Amino acid sequence: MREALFVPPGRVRPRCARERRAWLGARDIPGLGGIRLGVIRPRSGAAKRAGTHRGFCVDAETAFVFTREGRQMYKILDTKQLASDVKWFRIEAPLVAKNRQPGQFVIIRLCETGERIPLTIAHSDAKEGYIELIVKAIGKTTIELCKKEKGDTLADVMGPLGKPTEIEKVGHAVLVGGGVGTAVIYPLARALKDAGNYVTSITGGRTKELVVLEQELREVSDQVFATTDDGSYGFHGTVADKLKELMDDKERPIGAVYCAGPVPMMRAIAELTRPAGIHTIVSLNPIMVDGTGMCGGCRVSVGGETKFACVDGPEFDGHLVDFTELWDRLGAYRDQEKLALERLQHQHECKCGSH
Amino acid sequence: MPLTPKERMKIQRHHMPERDPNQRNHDFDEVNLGYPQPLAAEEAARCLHCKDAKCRCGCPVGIDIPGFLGEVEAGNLSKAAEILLSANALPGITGRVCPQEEQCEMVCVRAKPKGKGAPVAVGHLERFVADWARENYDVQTLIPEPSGFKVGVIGSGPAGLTCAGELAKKGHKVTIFEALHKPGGVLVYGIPEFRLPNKIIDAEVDRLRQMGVEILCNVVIGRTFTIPQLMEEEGYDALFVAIGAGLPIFMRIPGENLKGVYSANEYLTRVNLMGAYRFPANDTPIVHGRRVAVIGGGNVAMDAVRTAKRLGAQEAMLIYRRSRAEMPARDEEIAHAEEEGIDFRLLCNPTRILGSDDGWVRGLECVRMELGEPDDSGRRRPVPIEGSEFVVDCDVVIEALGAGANPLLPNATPGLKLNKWGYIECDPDTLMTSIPGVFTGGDIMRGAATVILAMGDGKTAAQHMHDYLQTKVPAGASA
Repeated sequence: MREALFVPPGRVRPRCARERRAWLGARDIPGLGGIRLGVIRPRSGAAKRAGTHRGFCVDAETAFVFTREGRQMYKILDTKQLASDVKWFRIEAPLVAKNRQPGQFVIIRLCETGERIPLTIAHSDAKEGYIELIVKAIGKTTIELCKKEKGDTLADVMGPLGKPTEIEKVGHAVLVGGGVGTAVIYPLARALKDAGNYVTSITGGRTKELVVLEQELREVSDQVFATTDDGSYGFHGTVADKLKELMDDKERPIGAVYCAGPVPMMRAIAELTRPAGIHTIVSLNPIMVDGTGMCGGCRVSVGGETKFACVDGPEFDGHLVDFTELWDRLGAYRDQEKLALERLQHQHECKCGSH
Repeated sequence: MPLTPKERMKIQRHHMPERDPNQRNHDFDEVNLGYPQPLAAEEAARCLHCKDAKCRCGCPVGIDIPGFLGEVEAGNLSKAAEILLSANALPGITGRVCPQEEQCEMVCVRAKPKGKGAPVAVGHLERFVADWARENYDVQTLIPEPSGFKVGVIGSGPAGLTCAGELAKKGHKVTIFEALHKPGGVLVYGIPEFRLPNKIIDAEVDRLRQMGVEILCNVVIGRTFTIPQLMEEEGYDALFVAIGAGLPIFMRIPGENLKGVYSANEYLTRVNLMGAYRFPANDTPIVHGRRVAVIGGGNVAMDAVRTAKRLGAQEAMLIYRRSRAEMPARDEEIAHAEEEGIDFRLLCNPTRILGSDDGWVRGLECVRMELGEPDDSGRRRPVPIEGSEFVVDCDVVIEALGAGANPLLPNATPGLKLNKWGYIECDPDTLMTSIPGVFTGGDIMRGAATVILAMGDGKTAAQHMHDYLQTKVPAGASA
């Protein structure tokens, strides 16, 4: 068992009968101070080919998880449910935390057969070596991620990626977050506040349930407005309606608007600020694969030029972005996404090694 | 009794056993099956053992080709493996993807007279020995006395893997930084399984790990760490930058941002690295076109179009603006593609990608070309024929026009000199860049080229890095 030589940290509990058997049947490894090793063999042909079997290193106190190749997995240190389908994670990733700046993101992968998805880093701590992510369960990968709890692991966390936000003194900075897009503006609010700006945050959702991070934003903003489309909480209307109100307030002119959320919302905000000539920065979320500018899958049209969101962005001038194209390209895999979701809903049986 | 040269001359070149084209174009298993031992011995017997072996000079890593062929002929495979591995750390890979017809096999005396002769199948035999060695030959991994130096290798493609292996053999503590989640670089994300199975790369990477090389995945140099941070804060004594040519080139024609348009990099990465052909068992999706048009005539274009065929395209087309004779792809790849039913549309240049109302590709407008005078590359320049526009119906377009220099790392590295194309400049002999202690090689130095040239660079750089380190005191020692 050569894998045993690459024992990374990460504590786990067995999660099903097969894992428990492997746990109990673990054997001693000479020379490793009482650490025991158990390996779960893949059951299906597909899992075998994909190499999804996992191993455990077990001692009386701690257990370690590692992949077949002996790579480190990334441990979830803590979680919190923010709304019924929005979850906050604190993940151990010291290398990512080290250089991370506001506006940057990571690409994560759940397991050996998983896809690579980009997620904005909501907060990080270089000294403690963790990053924080806020995830909304929409597709197969995010739903599976949101089922994870403290002590579980992710196969990969790569980053920090993307250009950091240019934090400048603009006077009055307005941050607009729609739904889980609030996770993107939250670190910006903190950085802009630290740079000496007057920070107004607007966080909106369709109903009360979907307004997230309001409390956290209050800690890093001068004023915070929550909006709901149905009026069930806070301001009755969209985030754009609230922004319009702020724009009409001549006493505190807006220096810049930072915006993240669903594409239609970002488009509405950009259209609103365009006539007034207010600098508007939007954070885009196209489909990505590698995150290093290697594949070009995340290309967006900005001012008639093709840009790669992963390396040239993810933030661009909202008045130059072709939102229609972005929205269209986001739907490229709609059929496959639907199929993956349906399959997930019909999967009751545990398939070891891939959760 | 050894064979006489006359007897050797009588033996005909043995064809590489291949899977049936109509069977193999439906799956991702390897196309070439490899020589069985008797065939390999007979093929090796074709070598005339020239005194002045031209093939050795034709090889970028200088393998003793007649030497290992002689051992194969004699059936002494472990000796053959030893000779091969002493010069080439990744023979299982180069035996499969090296353009031998332009290197060792081109200069082989058996290839003469040109067009009539057939060179000794050095590549196929290299592959044979490597495959045998992987199963049967225990590499003597001598762990040398630690030198105390800490060396970083950025990128785990062919250049990086070779360099790491060479440096580890000299006793340096080597760490490889890989941006993606799986080591291997272009060998893993680019070259498809049916040409180079991943298990071969895994075996090579495992061997490096046994030699004490540490591989850190998910680390993007330029973001996770910068080069100054590695040198100053992390205490690396020398670095080798081999990040490849990871920037897709697009044609810049209208319609490139329609759904169903891919760069070859994205298409191949989705399939090879992410396993999109197993969707939904694997989570990464890909658009399965019924009529797929691949633009380009290189090896990557061949890989992409053959991949599209395997994903179930009824028609997989290759659109190339010159004729077959000017295609930069290897002859073997072109022949394999033809056998598998790829439709070659030559002397066509795309001018526009047409889209449907809902934003999907529906066709590719092309113009017919004719060949004019030779250009700088010596190939005849294609000239458009006016008024010859026509539309190729297709639902997926893949652009395989080559790759440029990815600016991510250079942009984050002050003081690193680049040439006008954005590739890293270096001393042509030592491969040292404008930053002392930072070396480079592979595609990021020479522009998109081949696996073996990258490996050659890795080997050269390792030698000069070792020489450079001899003039230094380990950074860790002073701390």
